[in-house]
Amino acid sequence: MDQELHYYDISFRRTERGPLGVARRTDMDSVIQWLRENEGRLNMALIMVMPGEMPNIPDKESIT
Amino acid sequence: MNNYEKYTSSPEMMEKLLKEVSTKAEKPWEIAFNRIFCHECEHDTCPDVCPHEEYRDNPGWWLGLEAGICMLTKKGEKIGWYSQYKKEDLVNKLSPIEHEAEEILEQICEKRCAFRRPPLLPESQEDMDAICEDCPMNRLAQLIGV
Repeated sequence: MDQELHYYDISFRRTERGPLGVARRTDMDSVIQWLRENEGRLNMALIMVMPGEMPNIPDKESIT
Repeated sequence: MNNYEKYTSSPEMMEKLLKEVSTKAEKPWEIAFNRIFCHECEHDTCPDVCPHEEYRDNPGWWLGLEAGICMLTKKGEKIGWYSQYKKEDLVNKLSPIEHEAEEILEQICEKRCAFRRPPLLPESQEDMDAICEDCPMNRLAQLIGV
């Protein structure tokens, strides 16, 4: 996975029963930056390494 | 040819594989059968009277449906972990583990563990640590990272 093209997919919730948000970043530094920007405002974040090129989709606070 | 290539070479090969899989979990073709045929059925004496009996426990039939076709194609990947709705399901399951597992495990250790009170209470902290080290709850805690 390290050598292959990949990106980081972040699914997150601000509150326990809040809507699911989504963000994507190309590298781990950007993920860490995102986490710092959202420090104290996250109930849960699931970060997955996804194969392929990052989709050109803007961050969303809610997908529902 | 590896196993993936072998079993995804045709729906028939995939059907053969699925029939051989032994699982206690609900099979997707059973879920599909129930949703399609049992949803509005008034009979309660199946399989005696079911006109769709040939499709019951039939992965070949299920593979002919769109859901089954997706499993064999790139489209299936797209509705897998690329799907936010599937991730939402995962977040729903992981979130309570993240937020509640530590407290639950502490309650089990402190209130339910027989070694915390006589007659099994160890004489020394070292003995207690050794018991905890071998405890399956300790392994579970390590497994889920609390």
